[in-house]
Amino acid sequence: MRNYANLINSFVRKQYYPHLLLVLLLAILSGGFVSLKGLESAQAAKVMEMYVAFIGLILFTPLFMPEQDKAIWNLERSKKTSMWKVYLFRMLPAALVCLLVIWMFLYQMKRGGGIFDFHILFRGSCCEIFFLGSIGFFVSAVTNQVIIGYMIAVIYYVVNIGGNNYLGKFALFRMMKGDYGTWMYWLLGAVLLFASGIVVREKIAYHKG
Amino acid sequence: MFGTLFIKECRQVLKSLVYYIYVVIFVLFITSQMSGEDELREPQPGWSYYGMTVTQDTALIMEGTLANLIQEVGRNSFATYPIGLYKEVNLTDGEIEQVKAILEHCTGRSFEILDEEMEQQFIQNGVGGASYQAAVKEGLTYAEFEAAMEEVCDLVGRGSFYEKGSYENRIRVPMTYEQAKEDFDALSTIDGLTRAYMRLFCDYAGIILSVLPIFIGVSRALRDKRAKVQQVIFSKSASGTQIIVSRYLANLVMISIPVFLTALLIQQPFYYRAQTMGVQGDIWAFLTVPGIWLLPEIMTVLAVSFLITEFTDTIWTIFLQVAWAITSLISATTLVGDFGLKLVARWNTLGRTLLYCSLEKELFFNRGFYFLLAVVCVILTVLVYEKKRRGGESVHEKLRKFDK
Repeated sequence: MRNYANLINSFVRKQYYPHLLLVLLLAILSGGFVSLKGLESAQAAKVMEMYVAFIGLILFTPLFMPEQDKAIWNLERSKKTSMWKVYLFRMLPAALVCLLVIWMFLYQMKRGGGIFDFHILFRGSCCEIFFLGSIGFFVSAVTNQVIIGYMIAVIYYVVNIGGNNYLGKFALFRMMKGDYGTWMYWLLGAVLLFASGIVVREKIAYHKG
Repeated sequence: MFGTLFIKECRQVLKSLVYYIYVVIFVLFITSQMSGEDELREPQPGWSYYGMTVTQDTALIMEGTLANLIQEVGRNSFATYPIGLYKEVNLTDGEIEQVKAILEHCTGRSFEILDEEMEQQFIQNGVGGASYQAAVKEGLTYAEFEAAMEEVCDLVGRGSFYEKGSYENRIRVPMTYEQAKEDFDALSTIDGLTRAYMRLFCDYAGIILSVLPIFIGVSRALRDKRAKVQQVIFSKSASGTQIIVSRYLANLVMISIPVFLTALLIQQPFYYRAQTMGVQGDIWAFLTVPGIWLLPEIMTVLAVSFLITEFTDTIWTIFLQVAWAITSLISATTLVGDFGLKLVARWNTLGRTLLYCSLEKELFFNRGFYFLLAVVCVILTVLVYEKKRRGGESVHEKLRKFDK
């Protein structure tokens, strides 16, 4: 267990801290850009879906960053510790920070007199934000390029701003239009993409090895 | 030397997976957005509806804007959209009194009377009835109204309804047959159909091009570092200007090729359609319109991504530029015009040629600004590159040393 703790610690200190700082910055600066006071459910959902959603993308996409350097990847694979466990342990701080930030935003909005169902918006936001993050996670797992992971996740977000007729139940920004029923699809998408990201990556490593 | 470097850089782009993803996403996005845009009928007298238009009638603008202000003062809740997302602003008692004084100056009636009038109008019109309008003081000029709204903006802050660009684009009225016919005639004679379609193409393409070139720029700027050949390239005889400018131009050309090709392919059916309607279409519109509209945007997005990535040796610019693009996109007060200094210039309509002609100078100023910004960023990238070459460190390297 100590090994895994060390792995997480080293990953956060050497590679991941700028992303955590960015999330912190996004939370601190939110007061200047968005109002968290007196929001109705559609307005609260808009804050979560259009602003807070970015944290999923920022936190989950760069989890394979160290292995972009093939030498590091080969070295890690030569160790006894399974890579899939390493990836899962890296997801832990990302998921925890993500949940914490979502909770904090919703708490602030509720404290500011927001009229919305806390639990429903929390559930929907978590699923949607994890889903957006899982897109970046999966693409960077498959391509071993964080840039492409960000590219596809950002494009998915932008395409949803432009109009999401073709994305069906996996379209974003549904809650701010009053549709709270798609959380299951987001959750399913997120679980599938996270799991297949790790599986595909293990396969790539196996074939390369 | 420059030509050889340019060709080599083009080959580098062609080896990049990011580039092919860019091409696929660009083409899919444009074709999906433009596929339903072939509805074009000459307006005929007697239709019940000719569409809506933003009114230029200053009396209606003043009445509608003041009505909105009365409602927000009553609630002491002012809706603002500083980056496109809702932000409520509450004023202090002193500030509210100042706004009430402004209202009194514009309408000639006290806030209490205005509030009463508003309630009466709502009762008379009922839910879904005509929207509330506040009659202005006799003799109030539009210039006085503009000055008054500036004062309100100073109190409320950025992104409110009382900004000139917002209130002048908000009050919509039904179009008359004459207006619709005039617009259609201008579309045929001034735009020759094809230029209007190309403006719509630029609207959609501008959205996606505010983001896609970032990734190509970052990917290229970091490739040498990732391949661990930075020092080898530093030692070559080519100057930093040659290396960076050839790299930049090669990426710019490769990004632009799919844009102009798609524009050409999309334009063709409309060019033939113009001919069947007896209209002389502009065959070069696929070059001239995106050349003015999109090229400065691509140049800037690419140049900024080069500069920040070269300066930091990280992917941080992705977050910065995506935030910039999305802010520009969602902070637009209208989807037709309001160019200002926005990175993404919107024209989400087919036609409105006369309105476009009146706003063309604003667009040229906007695009000229971004053209110059791109040139400045490329020059700065050369300077940063030369400094690194002489042994300087990027911000990222300095931070890593600090960490150790």
